[in-house]
Amino acid sequence: NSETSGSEQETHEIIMTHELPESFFKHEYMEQFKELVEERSDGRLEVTIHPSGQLYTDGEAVQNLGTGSVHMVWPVSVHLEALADEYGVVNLPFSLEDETVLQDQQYREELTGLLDSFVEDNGIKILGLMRTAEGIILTNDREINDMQDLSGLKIRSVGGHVANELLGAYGATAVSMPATEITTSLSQGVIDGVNTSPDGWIDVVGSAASHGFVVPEMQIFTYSLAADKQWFESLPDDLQQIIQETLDELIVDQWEESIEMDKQFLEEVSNDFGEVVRVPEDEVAAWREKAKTVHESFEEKHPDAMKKFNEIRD
Amino acid sequence: MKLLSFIQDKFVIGVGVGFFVISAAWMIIEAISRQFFSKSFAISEEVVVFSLVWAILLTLGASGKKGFHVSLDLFTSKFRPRFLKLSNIFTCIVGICYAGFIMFAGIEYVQHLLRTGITSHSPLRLPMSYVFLAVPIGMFFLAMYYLQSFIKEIKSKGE
Amino acid sequence: MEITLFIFILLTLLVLGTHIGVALGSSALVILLIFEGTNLTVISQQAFESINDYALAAIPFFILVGDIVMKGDLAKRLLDLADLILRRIHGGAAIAAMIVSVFFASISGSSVASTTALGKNVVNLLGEKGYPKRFIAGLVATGGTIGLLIPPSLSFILIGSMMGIPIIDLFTAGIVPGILQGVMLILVTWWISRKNRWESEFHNIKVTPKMIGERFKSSSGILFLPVLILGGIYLGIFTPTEAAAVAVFYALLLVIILKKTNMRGVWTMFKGALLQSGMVYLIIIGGALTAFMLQSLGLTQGLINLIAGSGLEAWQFLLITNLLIILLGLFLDGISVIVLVSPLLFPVAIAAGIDPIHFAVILTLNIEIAAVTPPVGLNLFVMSGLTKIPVEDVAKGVGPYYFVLIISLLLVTYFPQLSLVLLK
Ligand code: NA
Ligand code: NA
Repeated sequence: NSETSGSEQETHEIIMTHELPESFFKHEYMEQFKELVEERSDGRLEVTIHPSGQLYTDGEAVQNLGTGSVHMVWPVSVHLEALADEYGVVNLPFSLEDETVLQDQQYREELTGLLDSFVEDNGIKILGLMRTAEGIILTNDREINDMQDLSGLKIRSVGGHVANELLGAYGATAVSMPATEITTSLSQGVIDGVNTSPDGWIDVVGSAASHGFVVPEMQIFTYSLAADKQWFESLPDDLQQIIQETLDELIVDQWEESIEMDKQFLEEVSNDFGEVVRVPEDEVAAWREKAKTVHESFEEKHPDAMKKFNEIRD
Repeated sequence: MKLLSFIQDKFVIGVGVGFFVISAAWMIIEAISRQFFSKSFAISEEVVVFSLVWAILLTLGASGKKGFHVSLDLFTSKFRPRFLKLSNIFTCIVGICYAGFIMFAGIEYVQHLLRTGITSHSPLRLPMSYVFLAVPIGMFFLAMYYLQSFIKEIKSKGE
Repeated sequence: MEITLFIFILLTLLVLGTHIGVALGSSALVILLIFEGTNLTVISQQAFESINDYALAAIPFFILVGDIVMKGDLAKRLLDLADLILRRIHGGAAIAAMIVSVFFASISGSSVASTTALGKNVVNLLGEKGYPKRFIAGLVATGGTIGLLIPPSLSFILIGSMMGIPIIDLFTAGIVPGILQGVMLILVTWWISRKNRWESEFHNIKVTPKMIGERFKSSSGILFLPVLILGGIYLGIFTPTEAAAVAVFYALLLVIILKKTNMRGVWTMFKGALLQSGMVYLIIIGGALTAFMLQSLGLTQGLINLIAGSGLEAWQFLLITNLLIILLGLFLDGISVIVLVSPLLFPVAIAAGIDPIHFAVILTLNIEIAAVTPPVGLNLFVMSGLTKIPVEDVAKGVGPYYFVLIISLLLVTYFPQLSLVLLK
């Protein structure tokens, strides 16, 4: 009938935004996404990307999903904790494994579905997860080799309950501090360390930190691909499908590239000004054990979310 | 109008200064606690900034009343009294429109925040709708200040 | 087209005497609503986010420190000390006032705060010694401007928080240019006094170490304040923003110990500083809306492309930039200029290969000049108010100092080393 054919001809705008410079790989993936969906929809989808926080920072964008001023944003998953505490489940230590995410499509779908269920009442649709980076703890001049070395240190946290509690579990003090003050505070000794990512070491902290410390798979930070739910569901079904399928494709490539980039960044730093200590596989169990308190306190508050999350994983 | 003036001059300024004091005091507490007791509060940044945002927005109008907002008086100082009166009335109207517009935009945004129920990031988990309420409330008092100036200007006889 | 209309509306509003913040914001709103169809929520969000910033918290605190120092008569003690030490040279009191201005810059974060805090005391001291009002007013107005260059500095805090540059690096970058300019201003003060034979009957004045000792003791409290602020920042005890709050509490403690105020007085000072800060914030909000509009129109990117395509060399770009900012500074106050041009010019400067920290110092020097150039110069207004002479006369009093400001600007612009030498 004429009504559907009319709406099929209609073009739909997708306004996307992110807070990073255009040279970052998240921007490249947004560009790829734009190119693919525009092509696959024969131009019925039209993507506008506002980079560098020109429209919104990621946190602001999440806040504005539903106002019509932005339709899709890919913030670090911590931002979604501001909508639903349960969302923190994906930020728990040792909760994600690179291999599982890469290999298991069903796992990816179920995980996305679970996360989506936490925030659907807030008017947000979660379409998937990308990989931000693996967490690393940077220190100024003292080297960290084992758990005791972390004890008593003041470390700038990435934010969110979970990350703060994790630092606490190892005896460190989580400090909240604006990003602009990190380098200074680290070199002046206001703080002893920074919890960040390998690219954060290169781009933000630089040689203000000379030691990096990684516990394998303790912190796999993710981007949540978040859309305005009402907007998304008002799109014609075929367009929804194009968006979802395109993202599903990109996610796998992106996850692999992110792992590769973490490696490259750390190599770059090692060659230049820093040293990286990686906890050997046989010692990870001890770290896992200590991090249990974080899981327990999360489980106490959100037993349901924890249960469902474990079910998906097993 | 009298009641409004009272609310504006006593209550609103009082609350604003209160927030300002909280902001300053908390900053010191955080610095001392972090430096000397190795304890940092995850809520510090939000306490400091949100208190200050409230303090500032609430008192934007009062600030105008005290004559702190700057303008270009290079030309107005040379205006004839009659024209000066007109230009003053005009600038008051611009002020009312500007503050009023942001106020309405703010109210709309607060409603959106109420719908989504988004909270702040620190363990305070303050509903952002409450935090953001500072915009419409502050802009309301700024608009009221311009309205009062407008009425004063209309009533005054251009010498 | 849009930008022409924007400038037209803005100028009309300014000429008619609309508050600068409101003029900026409403002209931007008109363009955004007509041409961009911008969503209402974005506008309120931009207004909120522009002031929702940890670093900006330092603004009211630094204004408050200036107020406390002024109300507590702390500046007078310093001034008396410097005056006594310099009594045996030409224009001793004037030089003392200039030196105290430079010293005061390391306490105060803004030029208006510096000027206000020192103004009354300097007017009294130099007035008694027979200096012409016009000169006194010009001296204090100019001396106040160093407040922005020597840390702590509102200008650097504002630029750092808007552009994401570490504030402490900006603070450090301002030190050498600040001292350089301070020394030039002191020398010029001496030269003017000598030429006019002001305070030249000093040969038989007696100054004993005991007298100096006494005054030193009475100003030791305030002498320690910069040590606390800068020492605290550079030793890593607190962040630059926290330093502002620490300074507030130290100064409060000082005036309470000296019994210059009580709790009621403290409340009044907080209130005064908060209301004064409102002025800055109203401009920041309007400026943020303007910046957002410029970005929505793609003007920033357009300008980058234009500069990149024009084959302009860095030095030419800097010359044009300086002229442009000075022109803006004639009519707008420093905060408005920073808020207006930073989002536009920093990306362009970086693209032209200029170190953003160096560029921040250049911008700050321009803002200093803006504070003392008529028709709109906040320091001129403050001194005109205090001395009850017209703004034009204060500007005439600034007279020879304009050369110092211009020379400093040229030096800082074309010798980036001055700004960057203390940074590794
Ligand atoms: Na200063
Ligand atoms: Na000026």
